[in-house]
Amino acid sequence: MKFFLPRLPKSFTRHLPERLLIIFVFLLALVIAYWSITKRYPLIGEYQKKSQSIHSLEDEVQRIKAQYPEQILKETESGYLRAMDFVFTNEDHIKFWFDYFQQRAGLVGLEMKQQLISNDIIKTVKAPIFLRSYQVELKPLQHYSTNTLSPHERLLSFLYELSTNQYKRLDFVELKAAGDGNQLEQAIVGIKLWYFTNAP
Amino acid sequence: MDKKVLAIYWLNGRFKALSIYKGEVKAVWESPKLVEDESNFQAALTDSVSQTGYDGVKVSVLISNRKTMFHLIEVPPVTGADLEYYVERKANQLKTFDDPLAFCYKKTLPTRISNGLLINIYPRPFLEKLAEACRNIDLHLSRMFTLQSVMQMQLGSLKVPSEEVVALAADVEGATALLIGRKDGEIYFGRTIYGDWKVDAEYVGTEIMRSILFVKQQFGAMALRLFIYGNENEKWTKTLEQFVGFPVEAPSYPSTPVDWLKESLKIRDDVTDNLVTPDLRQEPQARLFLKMVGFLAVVVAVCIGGWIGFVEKNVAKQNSEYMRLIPLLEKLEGEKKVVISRKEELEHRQQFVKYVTDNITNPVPGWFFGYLCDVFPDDLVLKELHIHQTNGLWYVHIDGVVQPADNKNLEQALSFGLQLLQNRLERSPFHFKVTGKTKFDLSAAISPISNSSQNDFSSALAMRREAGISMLGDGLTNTPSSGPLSFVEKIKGKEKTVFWLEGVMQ
Repeated sequence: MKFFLPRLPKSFTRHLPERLLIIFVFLLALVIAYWSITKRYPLIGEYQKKSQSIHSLEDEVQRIKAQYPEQILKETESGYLRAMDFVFTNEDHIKFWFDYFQQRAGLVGLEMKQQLISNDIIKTVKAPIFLRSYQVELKPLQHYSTNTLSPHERLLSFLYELSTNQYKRLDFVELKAAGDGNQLEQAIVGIKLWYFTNAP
Repeated sequence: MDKKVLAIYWLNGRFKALSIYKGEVKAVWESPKLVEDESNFQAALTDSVSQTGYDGVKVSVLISNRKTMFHLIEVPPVTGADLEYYVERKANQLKTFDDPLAFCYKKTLPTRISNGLLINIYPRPFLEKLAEACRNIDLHLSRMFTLQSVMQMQLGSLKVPSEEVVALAADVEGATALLIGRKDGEIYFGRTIYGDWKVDAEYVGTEIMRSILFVKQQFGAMALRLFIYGNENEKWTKTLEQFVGFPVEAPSYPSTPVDWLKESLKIRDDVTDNLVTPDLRQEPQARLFLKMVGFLAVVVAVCIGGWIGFVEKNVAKQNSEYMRLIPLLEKLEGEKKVVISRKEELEHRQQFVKYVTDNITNPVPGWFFGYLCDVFPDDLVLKELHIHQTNGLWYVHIDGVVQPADNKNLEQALSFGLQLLQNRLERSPFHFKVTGKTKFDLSAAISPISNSSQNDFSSALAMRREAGISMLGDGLTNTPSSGPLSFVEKIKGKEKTVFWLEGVMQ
């Protein structure tokens, strides 16, 4: 450095402050320009995008509003409530339902036992619907003499009662009956109950 | 040469100015007073400009004073910046003043040892004051030469052999400028002798001889002729010959200050013996360049400022537009939540209703069981029924035994009973389709039953075939096996009474 500096021409050091000032101004201008181009200029686009997104959101809201007017909710209300009537909405309800039919089975000389086999889930947009599969076992009572009907006729009668006049949806998916002619030894009925916990 | 030049003759205090336009002297002015040093230079220059009416910029000075000192130095064989650096270091060693120095140099013929340079050392402040004096009145000091530089130009015009060493001496206002060189323009040595041959010819002659001998010592070249310049120079040739010991000649030109000035203007600006250093010489260009760069920087800065203004204005505009939309955004987000919730609720309802109310499974098992009990043939007894649903189809499996009501043949009762059951089921509203049933004909064919039973069974089959009723396993009965099969053996005794039937329904 000591060797090099004295060799610098006098013209280099002449007007040095002015030159440095110019270089400083020039570099400062370039730095500011760089900052403006890389940092500030993109903000214009960003703000424009944000504004456009708000307008797009406005359009989207209007579109969804038009597509799903409030009136539709009212119009579908009754159908939805009717469908809601088909499903069980709490555990007590299911228990009550089974208790009732156990009593009814007893009246026709049948012993009824139910067992939960599976609990399938049907997803909807808001909340799932549970599809509970039960296996209902029916057996003739051993000491039952008040009814003159044969066991299979009693079973038929009970199945008829089970499958008709239901105010809830009840899907029969299986029937297994075993016996000897009119002497029914055992019947197993597979049923599915619809259960929805988020009922209004 | 420049179009307009103010040429100044400033030798040992005498100050004379010539305004020259296209090589012609337009006006001459001489300061009535001696201009001793640079402190008076400004005033003399101002007067000369006003007196000559000079309206140019360039100033050329022919100078000789005690501040400029010649030295002969030997230099290594280097050029360019290295040479400049070496000369500057050497000049710093030789200088006799405290101020920073400026220097110029002229290459000489090689000495006995190495290359030689005739350098002229002078204080830089002295040069800068002269340049500043010019700058103050909007002039530019572009050239300043010693008389030796002009004298060098005279070497070529001398009528001597080209290789002959000659000495030139010029009377310069009480001093004597000396240059020793050759006709080809190459020089050996130069100096200023502060003595006038008109006043002290012996001293001047002795000094000239000393210099000639110095050259002989350093270069091995001996000047054998002396040319003297100045007013009435021819009168002094004989006098000086006595002291130098060889012929002295007196050229008639140049002799006056005007002559010398005119000759000095023939020298180019960018020679190395110009006392005005390159940085000062190029100052106008440097200033112009600086102004242009400065202007350019300002233009760039202004453009960038304009750009920044444009960007900031747009940023502010877009920002305010965005800020203006913020309340709308909040409102829309709230509304969107509501409508999305409504949409989800609606979709949920649609799905719910679809799942719960569509594809309701009818209690087919109960219906079928009831129907089966009604249509079951009298000769058959139902032992087991299994109905289950898979992939939308109901699969039915029926197991039973045959119990003829009267003394019918078992096989016949089973055959007819099973066929009757199949027909009744397939004609039922359940769209029942048999997929399999007991192959009683096989067992009948191979079972070790009595001849009468076998005959009855065969006759029953024959009756069915006569009636055009085909039966499963008909093909097998045509090729009865001679021996019992192991499976048949296992169900021996029961095969005649047990049956099964399978089918599907939608």
